Amino acid sequence: MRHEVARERLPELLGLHPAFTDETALRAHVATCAECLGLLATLGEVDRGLRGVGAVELSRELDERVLAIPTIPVVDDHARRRRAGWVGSAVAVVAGLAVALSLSLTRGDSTVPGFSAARIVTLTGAISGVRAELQIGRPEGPNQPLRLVAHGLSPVGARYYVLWLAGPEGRVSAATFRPDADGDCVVVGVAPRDLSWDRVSITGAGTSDGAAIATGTL
Amino acid sequence: MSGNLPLGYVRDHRDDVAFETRLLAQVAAGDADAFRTLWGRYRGLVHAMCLAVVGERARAEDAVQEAFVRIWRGAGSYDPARGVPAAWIMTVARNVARTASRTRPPLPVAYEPPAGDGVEPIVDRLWLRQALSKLSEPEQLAIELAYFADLSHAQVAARLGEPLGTVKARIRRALLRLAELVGER
Repeated sequence: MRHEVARERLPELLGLHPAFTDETALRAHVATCAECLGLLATLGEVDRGLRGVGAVELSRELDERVLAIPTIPVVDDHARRRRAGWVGSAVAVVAGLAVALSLSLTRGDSTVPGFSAARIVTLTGAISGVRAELQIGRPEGPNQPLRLVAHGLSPVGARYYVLWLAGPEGRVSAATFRPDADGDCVVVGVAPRDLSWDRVSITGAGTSDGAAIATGTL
Repeated sequence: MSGNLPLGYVRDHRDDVAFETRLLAQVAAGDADAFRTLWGRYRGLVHAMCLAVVGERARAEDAVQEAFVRIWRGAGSYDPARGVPAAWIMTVARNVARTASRTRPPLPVAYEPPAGDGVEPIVDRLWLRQALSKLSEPEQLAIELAYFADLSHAQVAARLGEPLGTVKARIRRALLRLAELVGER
């Protein structure tokens, strides 16, 4: 076998050979060709390096973050916002539980046009410096507008935080959010009006103990 | 439709291109189940590609999330006449990853060989990032699908809607090119 032909076919020895190809002549050439032997070794390193990258496991937190994307309203996409059944789609994403809290982050800006709080729940921080309140708007159709205003959430203590609504049927993960560099954030969204909940809490996303950073009671 | 499929599940579709084209159309219409299925098919691939490009896990995960935000919001802009869904999805993700890698140089996190190997790796992620970008777009995509998504070559061919022999030849060329680049270091 000519060297040029053998060289082009070397990756076949990594298992890339087309069906019915006889490797005998190729292997015979490689056994006597130092250049092909060296290139084959390098190909093996490349092959293992690429497989090493592909073998990295994804974190469960990343799954949750990405699967929450459909619950985030697109502010400038009116067609999508008007889409019927939007809340229903969100329900399927958020662990199949009967809740959907859409969110948008207006980092550091606590004024959101069009939101009028009818009731406010103050969350007490278990960690010094954390202050938060959940503002509850007047019901709009099947939805209950909500706005969470939080300060003092360490942007390095946890990369993301989770807002929980808790009631007699258990605790429901309502939103995952991220504060700005100062630890402040404003999360605006809606929950189903008929959802029964009387407590609210914030935890760090992905923390194993699930300890609340701040809690409040309706 | 396929909302009950576990994450990472890859169906054996005879016509992946048609299936994924429909999937993107459903995502464009706001179908969260279709988005979940798409995530299940591409999560490992996009994550591995972002990790290879960005070089650091936390920032790679941010890039993955950003890529899927763009896919969710931009699926309506996918034009089947301009390429297969896999190419569009990976182009979106690759652009996000490259932008993320430009904001801060990646750390040269070495590929870890199997325990006990004792051999200094000659291929690390920083090198991969540089080397993969020197391949043509079709070669990059074929390599990413074959290695990062852990698809068989027949599955890669189905995903790309191309003959198996064509895909194998492309992967062979790409590997040879990468091996040549190792030699040029």
